[in-house]
Amino acid sequence: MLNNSTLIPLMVVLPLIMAILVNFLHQKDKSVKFISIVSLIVFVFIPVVTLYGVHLFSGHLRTGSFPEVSKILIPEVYMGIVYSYGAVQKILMVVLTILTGFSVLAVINKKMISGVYMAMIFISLAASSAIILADDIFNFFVFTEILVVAQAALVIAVQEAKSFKAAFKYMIFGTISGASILLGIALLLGSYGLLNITDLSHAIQAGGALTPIGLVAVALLTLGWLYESGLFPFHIIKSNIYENARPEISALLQVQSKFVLVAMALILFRVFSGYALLKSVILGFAIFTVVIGSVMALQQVELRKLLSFVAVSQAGLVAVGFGLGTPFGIAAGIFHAINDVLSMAILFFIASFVYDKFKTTKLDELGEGLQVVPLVGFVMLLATLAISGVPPFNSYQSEWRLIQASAQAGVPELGILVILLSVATFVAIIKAFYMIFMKPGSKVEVNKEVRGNLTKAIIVILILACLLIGLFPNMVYDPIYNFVVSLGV
Amino acid sequence: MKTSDYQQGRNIIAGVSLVIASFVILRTLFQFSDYLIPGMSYLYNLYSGNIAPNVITVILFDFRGYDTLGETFILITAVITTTIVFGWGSLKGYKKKETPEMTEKSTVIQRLMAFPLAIFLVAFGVTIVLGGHISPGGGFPGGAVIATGYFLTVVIYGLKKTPLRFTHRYLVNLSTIGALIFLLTGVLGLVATTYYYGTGYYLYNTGVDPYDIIHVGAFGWDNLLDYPDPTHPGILPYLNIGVGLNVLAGLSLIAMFLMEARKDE
Repeated sequence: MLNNSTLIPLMVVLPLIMAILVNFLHQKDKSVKFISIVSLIVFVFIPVVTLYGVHLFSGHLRTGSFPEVSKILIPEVYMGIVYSYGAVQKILMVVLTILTGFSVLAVINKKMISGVYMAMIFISLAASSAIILADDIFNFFVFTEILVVAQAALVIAVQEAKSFKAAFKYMIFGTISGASILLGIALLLGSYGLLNITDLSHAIQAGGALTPIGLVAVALLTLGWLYESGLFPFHIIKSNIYENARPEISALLQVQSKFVLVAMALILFRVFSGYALLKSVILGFAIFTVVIGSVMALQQVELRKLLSFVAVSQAGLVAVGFGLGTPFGIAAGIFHAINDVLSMAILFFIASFVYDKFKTTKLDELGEGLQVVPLVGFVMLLATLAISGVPPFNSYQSEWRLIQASAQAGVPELGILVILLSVATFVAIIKAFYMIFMKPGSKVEVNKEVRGNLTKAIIVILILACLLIGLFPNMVYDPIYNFVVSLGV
Repeated sequence: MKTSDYQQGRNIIAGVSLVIASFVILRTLFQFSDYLIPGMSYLYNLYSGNIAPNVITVILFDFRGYDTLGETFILITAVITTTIVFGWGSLKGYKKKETPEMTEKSTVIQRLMAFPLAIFLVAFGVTIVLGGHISPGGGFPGGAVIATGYFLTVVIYGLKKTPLRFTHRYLVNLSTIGALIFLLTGVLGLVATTYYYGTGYYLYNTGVDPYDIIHVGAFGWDNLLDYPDPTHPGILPYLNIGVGLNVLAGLSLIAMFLMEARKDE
């Protein structure tokens, strides 16, 4: 049994407190700015210093030997809500908080300081942290609901007809998926009497084959997972959300979605580890997402739309790793999620810069950008290489592992799919690069006031991080692999 | 093939899959009670008597108090999102609109009855909030009842002439105080258990001290945040008050924005 670690809840509670404070201080721009920057430093700091372990909320301990064991399926259960914090959670939390920090700095730098908007960013950070940490299936559900509403709010704040529409659709489908997740949890709670994920997986394993009720619960939870992570039937809704938010916020939204994908897939695999069909279903939806996402990305002529579809298709690739179902495949999937959010964030920050500098992201109007902003163009070229899995960048390491894992799992055909996706991604983004930075004859005016020094600094830091992970992949990959093996899925 | 042809086929597929999905779910729920295992519910019933008389409140605010924090935040997020829809805090800025005059006057009976009824509703709501740990109710229903009182007066008398005149700032402050009561009570539990026991538990019930780990009483004063009534439920009433303030402020805020936007379109 793991020790109680005191600081775990602060990763969720402090962002919530700060969100309440900045919402309270709305219209007092200086205080909002100060509080946001100070709290960001604290948010990045906490995951680093927190010790590995579990946190028992309200102090309710794990207790054994109950008077009537017949009323519960396994002898020892956690009484209250539990969060667990291990190596994978640490890596995900650090990446999440740092990227949130970059997004918030970009928002502050653009003088878009609004306490309410900042509060929504902090609440979405808290919700995605809770989803990553939760070892309790109902608590997980509560925070997915918060995340959906907060993400919709970030899109609504743009106040354009298209963004209202996208957010509205997102919320409508959110109700369907929320209801299906909740019903799935209710069925599990009814038939096993437990909510803690560790206990639940023990109880299900002890009970042998899944009951028909359990099967319906798997189906409902998988439907919810597809929505939360923006996979195949819901890929349009998710890409709509990315496209209509401010690009620097899209950089944040795609991180949250991909980490929710990872967290929820881990929950599914832990709870239903004995159920083999789940892997095939996940793999099927993942392949559909990869194919449709990359084909859609190839057709786009608008930078933000293009990046949105690339983000969705890359999420499909993460899900392919989970669909393989072997520890090697799952570890490669999680590793790819981390690599991909970094390079995708660079591209979204560049989109934000292009949008400010040239007032549009329509590719056929842009051109000759390399003469105006050579550094940004160079970084975009590197980021394109990074995201399409060219060595020495990070995605190469994870895609290579995905191909190996698929060969090991007996489906080498999937390796070809991964390579094809890399090629499609490369073609889609290099087209955008050419049309923004090299194509002769630009129809846009350059806004000379926008210097974008902060954006430049952020993208340079991120591309260096990509390079670092690409050169020393084991620094990140080994803890993930050990974690996945220790789960025993 | 035209788009409409596709749409028809799509509708048929969607309809058939909806029927199948509903059948499967209803079939699962049919006679579900035969397969129920009490599990946690049994354990919670067994142990919650030590903390407060109302078992539901104990489960809601103690065993699963952190979930309730999340639920409160769903409400807060939804309220803030609604205000963003009306432009408050959005990236384009907020334009204060003239509060519209009531065009349709309410009837005499309505005007005569609404104010006493609102007073009654507010008083009733406060009772529900404060009695959460001993009787059915608590912060969520209590706050909703108080907000209903506010709705009633706003609908009957209009935003300008309502006797319960809350300003926007006031409601935001109220909601902030409510949320902070909940969040900081949890932090207090974390700090107190870390100080007295070495390891911290968020939202630990310092008033009841169910696991006997902080021993504040030993120093000559009562437990931290002990609620001074015969049942000694610890932090539960304080959490109820926090949630109650939050729900009341949040729902009233939505009502206010809806009333302001009424004449816009």
